Amino acid sequence: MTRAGLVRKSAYQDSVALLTLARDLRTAAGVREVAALMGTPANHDLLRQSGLLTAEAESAGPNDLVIVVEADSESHARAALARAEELLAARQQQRRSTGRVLPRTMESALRQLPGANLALISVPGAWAAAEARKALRLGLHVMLFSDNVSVEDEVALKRLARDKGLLLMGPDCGTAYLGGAPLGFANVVPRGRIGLVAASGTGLQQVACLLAAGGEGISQAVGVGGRDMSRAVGGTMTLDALDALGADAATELVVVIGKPPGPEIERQVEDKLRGLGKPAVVALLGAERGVGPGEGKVRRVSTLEDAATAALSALRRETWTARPFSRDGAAIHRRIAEARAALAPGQRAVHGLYAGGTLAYEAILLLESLAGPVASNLRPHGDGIHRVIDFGADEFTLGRAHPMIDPASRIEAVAALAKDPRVAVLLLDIVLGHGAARDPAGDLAPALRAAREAARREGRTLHVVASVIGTEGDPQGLAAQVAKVEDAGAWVLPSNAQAARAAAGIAGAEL
Amino acid sequence: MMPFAMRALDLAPTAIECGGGVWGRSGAAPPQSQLTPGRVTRLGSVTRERMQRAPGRSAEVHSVFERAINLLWSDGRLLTLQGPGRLGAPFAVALSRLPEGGAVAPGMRLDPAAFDWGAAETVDVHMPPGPLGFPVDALMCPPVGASIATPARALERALASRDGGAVVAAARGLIGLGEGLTPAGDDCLVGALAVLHRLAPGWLSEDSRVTEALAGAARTRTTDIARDFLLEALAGRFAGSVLAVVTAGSVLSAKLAAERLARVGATSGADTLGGIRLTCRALELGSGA
Repeated sequence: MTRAGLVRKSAYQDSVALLTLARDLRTAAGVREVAALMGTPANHDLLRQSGLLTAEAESAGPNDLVIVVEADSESHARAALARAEELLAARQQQRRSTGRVLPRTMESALRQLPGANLALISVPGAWAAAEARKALRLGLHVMLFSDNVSVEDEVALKRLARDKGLLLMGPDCGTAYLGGAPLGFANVVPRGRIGLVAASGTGLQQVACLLAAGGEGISQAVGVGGRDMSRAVGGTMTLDALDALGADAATELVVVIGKPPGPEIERQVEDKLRGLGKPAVVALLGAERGVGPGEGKVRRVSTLEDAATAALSALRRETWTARPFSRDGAAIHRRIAEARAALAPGQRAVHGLYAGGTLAYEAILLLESLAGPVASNLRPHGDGIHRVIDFGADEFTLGRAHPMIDPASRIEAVAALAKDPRVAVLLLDIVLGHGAARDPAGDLAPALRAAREAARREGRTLHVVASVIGTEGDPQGLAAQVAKVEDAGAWVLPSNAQAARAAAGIAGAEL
Repeated sequence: MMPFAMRALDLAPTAIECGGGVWGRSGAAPPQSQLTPGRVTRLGSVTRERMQRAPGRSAEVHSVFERAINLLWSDGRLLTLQGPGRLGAPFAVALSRLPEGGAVAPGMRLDPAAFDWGAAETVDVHMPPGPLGFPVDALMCPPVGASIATPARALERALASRDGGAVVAAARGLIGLGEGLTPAGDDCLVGALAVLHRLAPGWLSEDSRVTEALAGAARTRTTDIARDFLLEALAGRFAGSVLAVVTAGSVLSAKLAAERLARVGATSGADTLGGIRLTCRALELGSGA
């Protein structure tokens, strides 16, 4: 192992740039640790205590940027520092060459890009409604990425959008595909003949990726926001999006993903679906009404994976049945039994550490139905031996990046849970695609490896069960990400639902 | 309802990022064409005095960010040019527009006489003393970053016991510590000083050894930018986003202000919020002791 550093005199890089640079270098081959700090005396001490204070770093003053790399070999360290130089140079070049002035108002943005017809709004919630209203009045469809928008504002905005024949996607809309353009957190999926309407982001991503794996693509995907089908909002955008998909020639089948609405809105949605004249699949996670073929061409299913497989079967005019595991069931049950047998007495709990809110919610439902009560920050009043945390919830992201971008909060939780003798399984989602971290599996892998090793030293086997939501076309590459997390000792299943079932099985549930 | 035509949803292949009016310490690309003088719309009273003390003198560009240009003023301290809106630093000057397409780069000299600042609004950036208008728990924020957790806890204990020596020791441990252009420890300390000036202003003014020791550490142990935030904070002057949190008059306005502050920089706002929160807690402990 070796350490090397470089110092840039009076190099003022903003904080986001420093964090991005450090994160980028950590993904380089053979690199174990990276520090990118200003060379203040306190940071010298910090580097010294971490064993990272090189001679170069020691010479830095408070206004100097210090980059120190700890790597497996000198060549790895040199390569990482060369990469750092490249990134700093690229940033400087970008500053020199960018002559374009960023618009500071929506009107000036429209002057720069006449003909634009959609505004993606990502500002703090308190200002989001005003920006969305402005965009709608300018005749733009709106993807409202912001959260913390009041339900009153949402109702008013959606009324205004409806009056103008525009889409108001959101609030808290993380993903959409319109006219072939991925928006927000989105995977690289082919264009195709399936139209999606989804309450939120990761549910839509899971279904889109599973459809892509099955050889089908997306015509349009509209995110409507988690509250759209509530009584207060009345399903306004869900119904309008269904109209739009009905009129869209490229869409041959429609999938609706969400949580159960009230009976009146559910009836309106089903009526609308029947009126489309196109086959449809409805996945309302946690709906009490049973799954089944439904009326007309509408099929009701209970998981995101079922939504994808039912849609594929319907398009191909094949008979569809829900299957708990898509691969060799006997082999999976054997592996579950082996994993269960390796547990120490007292290891009974599944802990879900999620980046995706809808995926976390789906895991809660499956774990609860198979393995007993689940505590979760998504349902503050519940309690149970099992626990599912959505690390994308407000309490974890205020002032911090979303866990799909920054793994820090989940890494801390993995390390803490390694010491808990009750934990049998860590259940994870790893979400790929545009907007997500460059190497989410690589970010988590060292922590998973260390957690398993820490448990092993205490005589326990800590199982890690994961699903990777992505495609081979994603910037991170599905196979490479699966390989990394498997290399860290995780068992990767093809969907979140399957991962949750396998986790429940290891923790003792009869499947 | 008007039906949608999906054709209307076909998107143009390019996108425009629309900058907000909030000054931030993040971003990338300064404009490159010739500097266009702007009109000063707002500045702090002390900043106005600084500008009046040095009429007609040019200043060196210290550093350039997307939404801010720092000038090294004749008094050896920074003066920040920003776009319109709430002042992002107590030493900031808001312009009607930041220089567009100008080749502004560190080392260049700018003549502030080029800016029309005579009609600018002068705002008070001092923290007014008074009670908190909301319960501390209204400030939802994650714990401070791991790199500063230990000295931050030490500062909280020292503040709770009103021990000047321990406060200085803990605060010195925070100065210049952690990630970021304004290191996380400095941001945390700025938040702590904001609360002290609000809730216990006499404590800092009565014991000048505390402020002198911290000012000395700020001058030598951190970056130029963090130094000036700290020196201003010691003098009771703060960015608009910090003033808005600490002087909020209701739970709702505190939450909204905290949300806005938390989004400043990569973690700067969150670390400042952490300092605000820990000091509120410490002073509550102290008053109950």
